[in-house]
Amino acid sequence: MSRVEIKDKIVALLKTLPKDRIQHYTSFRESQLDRFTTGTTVTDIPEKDLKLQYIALRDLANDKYKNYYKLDDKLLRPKGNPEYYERLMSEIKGEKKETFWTAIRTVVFGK
Amino acid sequence: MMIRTRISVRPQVFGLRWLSNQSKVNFQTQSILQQFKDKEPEMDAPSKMASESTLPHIQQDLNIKPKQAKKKSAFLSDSKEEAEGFEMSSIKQSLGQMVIKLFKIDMDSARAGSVAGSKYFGDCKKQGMYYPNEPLSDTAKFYYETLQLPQSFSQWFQITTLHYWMLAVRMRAMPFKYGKNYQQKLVDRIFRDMELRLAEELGITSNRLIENYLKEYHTQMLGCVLSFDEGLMTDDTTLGAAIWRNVLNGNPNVDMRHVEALVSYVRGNLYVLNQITDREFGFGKFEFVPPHQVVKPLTAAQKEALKEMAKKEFANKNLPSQKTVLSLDE
Repeated sequence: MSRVEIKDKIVALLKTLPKDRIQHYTSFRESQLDRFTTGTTVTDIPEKDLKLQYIALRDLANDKYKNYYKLDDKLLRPKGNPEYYERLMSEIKGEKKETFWTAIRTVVFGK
Repeated sequence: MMIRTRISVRPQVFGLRWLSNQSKVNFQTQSILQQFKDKEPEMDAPSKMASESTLPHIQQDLNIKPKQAKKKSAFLSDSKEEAEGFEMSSIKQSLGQMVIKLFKIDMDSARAGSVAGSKYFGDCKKQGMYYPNEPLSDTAKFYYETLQLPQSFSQWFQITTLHYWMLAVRMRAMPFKYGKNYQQKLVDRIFRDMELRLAEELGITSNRLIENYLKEYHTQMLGCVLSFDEGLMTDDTTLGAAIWRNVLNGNPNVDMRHVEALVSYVRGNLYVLNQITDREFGFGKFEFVPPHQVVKPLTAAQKEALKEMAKKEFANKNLPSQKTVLSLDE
């Protein structure tokens, strides 16, 4: 694979990444797309390392580590607060908003 | 005539197959696709993974001139109770056991102070701890040499927050009352230690300045926990992006292999935390697996053997101070 081919693969992979659900001070997807589409990054990186960049990104996009180190409900539905992650994710995705009263309940009871 | 003959030779079986004249063939229980399935991926240690890449390092301009420690404070505290190898006198021990028994003290709550507020605090603190002109520990080498992160108080805080979050994930899985207490003790101790170090080690004399720094660090911690939680529940790229923003300082020229190594490190440690029982964790038996070691998933037999070992270990802990309601099964 030539450098340009590897770069194209990296860019294609970066484009498949989901956009940030919350706005942060910087975006991984946008910053890396900018890095690999503009500038001299590709010519500055040795081919071996460029390939490693692709492999690392591919492994992350394939959820290699999430699938290898599988967690069960013990951590993902914690018995101390089973709804914790569901509430958090629905808030992040904008499906369900915390109201003033649910926020007060969280502060008072801790969950 | 033909039909008669066939009926006469057929054995008198009235099962489902009585119309068939062929021998029974069992369904294939294993998928044909199984032979093409990828073998279990080989996993390298995070530090080996990160050091494989020789991507030229481009110094990130963070617009900071980090203040370095001028003095070294005690790692935990000056208190002799927190000194290594400390053992209470037998008279004090028996008196303590008597008081616990008499007042029926909830030891799981009381233990949070010494386990989360001291042992786990020390475990989080030491990961990225460094002092100028002193050799780095193995874990600190991973962050400051392999990942080439800047040596600063803020960087140390980001590394500590990552480890705090991993422990907080496990603490949430404890019974609510105890998990909350453990989290509180750990976070209180981290901020108490930072307050002292900002004054003693970095020589900041203004209390107002220290308070402002602490407020800012607290806001950062809340943001980190939210981002890491999102990464935990979604996918490796979201977790990687959270690590990139909060540990790798959002470096635009980041080495992807470094992001991957940290994701592998975090997921590996979470896997260990997933396997450890409430009681073992509550008694401070957990240790972070360092970045130069590999975590390999356990087989069912290994999991069972570990549970048996834990049961054996806790079978002899019958003193009033060792009383607990934390589970040995989950």
